[in-house]
Amino acid sequence: MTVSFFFQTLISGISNGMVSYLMIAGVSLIISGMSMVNFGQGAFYVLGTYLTYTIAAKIGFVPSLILVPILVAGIGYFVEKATRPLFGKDMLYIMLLTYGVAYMLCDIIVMFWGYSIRLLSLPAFLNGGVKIVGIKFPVYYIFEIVISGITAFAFWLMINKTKLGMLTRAIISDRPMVANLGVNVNQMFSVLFMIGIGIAGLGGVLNAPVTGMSPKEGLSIFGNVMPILCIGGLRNMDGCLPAALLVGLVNAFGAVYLPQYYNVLPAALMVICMFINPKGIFTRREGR
Amino acid sequence: MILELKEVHGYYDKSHILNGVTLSVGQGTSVCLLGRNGVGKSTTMKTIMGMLNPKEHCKTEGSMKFDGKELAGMKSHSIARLGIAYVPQGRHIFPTLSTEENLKVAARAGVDGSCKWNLETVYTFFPRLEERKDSKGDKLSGGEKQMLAVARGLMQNPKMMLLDEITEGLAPIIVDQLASMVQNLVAEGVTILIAEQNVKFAMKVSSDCYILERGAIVHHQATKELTAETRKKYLGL
Ligand SMILES: Nc1ncnc2c1ncn2[C@@H]1O[C@H](COP(=O)(O)OP(=O)(O)O)[C@@H](O)[C@H]1O
Ligand SMILES: [Mg+2]
Repeated sequence: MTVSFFFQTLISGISNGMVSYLMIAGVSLIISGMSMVNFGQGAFYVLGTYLTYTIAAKIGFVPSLILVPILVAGIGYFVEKATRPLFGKDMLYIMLLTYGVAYMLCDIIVMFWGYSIRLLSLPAFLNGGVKIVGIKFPVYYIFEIVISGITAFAFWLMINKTKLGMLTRAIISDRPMVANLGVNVNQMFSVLFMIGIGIAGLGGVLNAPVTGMSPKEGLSIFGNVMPILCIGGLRNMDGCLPAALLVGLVNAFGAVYLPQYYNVLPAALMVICMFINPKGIFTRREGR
Repeated sequence: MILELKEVHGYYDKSHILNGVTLSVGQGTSVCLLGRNGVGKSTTMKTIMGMLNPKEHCKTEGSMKFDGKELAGMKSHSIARLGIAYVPQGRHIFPTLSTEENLKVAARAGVDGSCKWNLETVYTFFPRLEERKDSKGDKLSGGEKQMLAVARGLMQNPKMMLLDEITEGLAPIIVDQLASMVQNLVAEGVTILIAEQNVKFAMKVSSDCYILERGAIVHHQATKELTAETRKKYLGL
């Protein structure tokens, strides 16, 4: 492996990891804040991709980065409303409901866009490569890393520095007490759900020019990123980013060195990590 | 009267716990609910806060008026927003939030728009909390947690506070500190309903008291006039 190939693989791994982070951050937020696993997240991601095909053609790719996540979050608003009656009931119901919603979304995508797999062409400034210290990298990979990095930072600020973030962390341990402080918890859940879904939508937008996706991948793609969630820790929002990067890198280098085992690597890594710490290897043990 | 309960019944699922509680609290006064363990003091407070609702498989009957508004049927968060700060038994400090964050999550202007209680004034009132402001909630001592729970209530700039057994499990010296704290709060014009088993503490901090037994008020008197006989009869002291 030459030095330049090593760095190219590294950057490709990081950019893939960062885009998976976008899908998983929302799932993690929804798990932590609302104690519910949104199995439909993959469908919102794919919806983001398909909306981008259409919207980017009209208003351009860069504005889609903002508009599409907002649209996807808007749909999330209604999905969250649909889960309301199931709150406090067996988790299985919400799992089934969110999975059902994912099915419906995928069929709706087929209805509007058909089965043909598309690929968005990039705007000129994101095309081609840049040379950094003599090594050529695709501009788009760098772009993905920057956009996801900004999102990750904004997300971190939201969780750690805003009142909404403090309330989210408070709700994890004591929901009734949060209500007793005069906070409308249902309203807050709507906001959290929309943020979680919106970030996944952004991941979908970033994906549009890279991978052609079939609408039905909305059902399977969640399975692909599930290892990230377990490695980072189901209830550890801070674990998502390192775990996503780890899996992204393992995928990228695995594709080079162990191409025949490429598909099982994330799952194998997950199993190993679960042995090390079932709460996630990036979860702080007790105390601080 | 800022708070008036009339014939309030409370149920957890099928068990009938409150058997017609009637009591009233005057604006700016401090009233105490006394009674042995399990008589329904906490349940009375939870009922006021709308926590005995059908969603939790509970039920409330009767009338509860705060500032002339009927509380029955209202959601907890709306009740809190009328200006009632609830300091529950067991403190319920958010363990993963720092002391300062525990205060910040509760910060809100009062119903009249006043922001008399903010981080600065609360820290002046509880200097110890400022010293511990970066410690996580679960790292505080019992006394610190209790102060934080009360301080968090104050951050809501409430008209009234419900304090549920704030002396529970604390050393006598801390209990004395809490007593002067409550006296100061009353002097600041905060209306207080306090649930206690500690009669000595109740006598220091309240003017009026109601004694509960098996979910009903069995005695009502000025706290200072409580006789040894009454105390023995209802509180076993
Ligand atoms: N969540 C609950 N579900 C069922 N019964 C409860 C619940 N909480 C309290 N009780 C019962 O209600 C009665 C009154 O409890 P409580 O109001 O906590 O008493 P106190 O605060 O005066 O010690 C007790 O008999 C207790 O066992
Ligand atoms: Mg109690």
